[in-house]
Amino acid sequence: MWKTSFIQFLKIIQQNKFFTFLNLFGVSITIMIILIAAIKIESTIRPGGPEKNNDNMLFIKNEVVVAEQHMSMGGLNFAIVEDYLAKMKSPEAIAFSSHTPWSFFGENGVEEFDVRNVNAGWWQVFDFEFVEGRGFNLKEVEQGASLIVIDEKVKNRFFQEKKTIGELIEIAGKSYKICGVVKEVPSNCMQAHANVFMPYSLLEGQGRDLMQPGDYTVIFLARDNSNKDEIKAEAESIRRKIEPLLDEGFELYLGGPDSPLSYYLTGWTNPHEYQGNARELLILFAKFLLILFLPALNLVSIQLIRIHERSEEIGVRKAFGATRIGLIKQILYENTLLTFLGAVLGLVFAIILVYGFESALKSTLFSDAGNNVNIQLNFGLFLISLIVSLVLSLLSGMIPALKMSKVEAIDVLKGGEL
Amino acid sequence: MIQLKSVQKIYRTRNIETIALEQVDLEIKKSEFVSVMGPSGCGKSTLLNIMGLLDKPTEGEISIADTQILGQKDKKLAHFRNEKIGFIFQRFHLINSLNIIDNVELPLLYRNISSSQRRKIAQETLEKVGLSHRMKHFPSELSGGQCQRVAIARAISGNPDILLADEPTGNLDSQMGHEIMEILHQLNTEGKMTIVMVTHDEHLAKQTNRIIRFFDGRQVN
Repeated sequence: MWKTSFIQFLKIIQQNKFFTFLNLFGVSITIMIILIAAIKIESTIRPGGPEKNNDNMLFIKNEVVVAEQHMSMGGLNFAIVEDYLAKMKSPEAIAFSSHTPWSFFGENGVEEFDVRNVNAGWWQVFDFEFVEGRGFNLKEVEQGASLIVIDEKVKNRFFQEKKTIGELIEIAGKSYKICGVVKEVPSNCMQAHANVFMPYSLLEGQGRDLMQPGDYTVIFLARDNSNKDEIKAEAESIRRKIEPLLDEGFELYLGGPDSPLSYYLTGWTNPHEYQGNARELLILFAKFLLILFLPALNLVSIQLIRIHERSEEIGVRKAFGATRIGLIKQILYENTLLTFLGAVLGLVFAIILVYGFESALKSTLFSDAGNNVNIQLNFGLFLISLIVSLVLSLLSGMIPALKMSKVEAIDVLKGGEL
Repeated sequence: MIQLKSVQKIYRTRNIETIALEQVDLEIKKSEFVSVMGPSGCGKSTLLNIMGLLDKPTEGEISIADTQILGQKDKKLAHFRNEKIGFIFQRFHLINSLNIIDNVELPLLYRNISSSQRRKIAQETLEKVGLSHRMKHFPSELSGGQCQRVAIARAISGNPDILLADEPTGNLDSQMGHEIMEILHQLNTEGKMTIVMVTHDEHLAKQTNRIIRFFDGRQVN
């Protein structure tokens, strides 16, 4: 029966090629857009590279010092980081950094590199791939050793194939000894990305006024999910400890510790509006459903037109023994197959885009800086999209299916239409 | 085989009530070939649709093959139609997207028969109507007479007891009409099929066992 229905389905989709095209186009383009959008979202949430283990990372990127008529917002204050957060006991490792650009006038005009001032825990929390040498250790950081780690981009710019470890490099008028070379970090690794890494202790005159936010980010490495709760609790106890040290009437909010997903979803701009992930996740899921519902609606309208065209066939089928339930099953089966076909086509389009036009896609998704970003399709998301699409097509197919089943054979066989 | 008792059919709209059939009492015996005649709008097709369980009477009783039909559910009526009744329409009503053999297989789709068995039955049926060489063609590639022969093959592929034909030669020229009548006679005499045929053609009607005449929804003979 199903084999026959499948053969009939193939015949029916050939019957009106334009409607078939509209159906397939709607479903396939939607699935393709979802898969491509997921690449962009995933590249932010799971960027890979040194952040490939970010499932176990928690970030604090912001702080807000707020009173009734006053609000200061920014990165973390240096004193909060060094004196409190960096001394937390619950995380497996703690990294922190501030970010400064390094620009100079070179042979080809102004050249720019990113510099991060990091602690020794940086190399434990992130999974850097060293091409040569090593990162600096706790002792070297505490002693303020003038060591730096550069990436291959800087190496190629200044040393090409020459020996690099132990060589000196001048940045902003000061010389630093290179102790390590790491592979270039993809630009979508927002936390770990830089071209040069130097001990934070080399920076002079860092602001310690607790009333002023700074420019630091802290990253905690958790052992497991339960450890994440411990880290959050300890960070909260630290916040409570610091708050009384602020001027009277001021409150302190810390933007985290939160997962990369939380940051992606909430952006964390105003502590008073921050309500956690659940609502944001729900909104994201609603958007996902809405996008998938559009081709389902398209399917309903096209199937309704098709039923009008097929009224004679429906009448004949009823006359020769088709039941209402049988006809409903038939239209739902056709809807489902059409959606499945469209989804597979969407996957094929996405594969062609990702693997056939990779650099064009990267520059569209990430601008020019994204050339070193690794992109790949999320086949898990494809399966979820496929299942949701099929469920929606079943639900939306009920409207034309019920209409189809209510066709009175006698009406259409006498020459009337639906 | 078919019994109608005090059957009445009234079509009602908001303003108008039209009596299509009035107090029809009719019995058609097994293997009888009956023609139904009368002017347009006299209720012939309504009668045929009620006998074919495509329409329900407003009042009265219907019994087909010793089974009381009224009050049966859609599923049961569909099965009954599939097993017991075959239809032939004036305008053929073949499914244009399906080829000839698929059209003939249609009634068998709703039975528990394997695809190979369905194909075999459809082939044999097409041979009976002389169209085995056109199995893979589509309805649009056939003449009117050939389409009606396919429609007959479809109607009889499920081996029903009753064949209901609504002006089966109405769209055909006399030669083709004659061929179709020959097939119907053959099905009646050799296959022992009960046939009820609506026709306007007195000449064709006289070839059947009995003529039932209708006028203004009433049986007049």
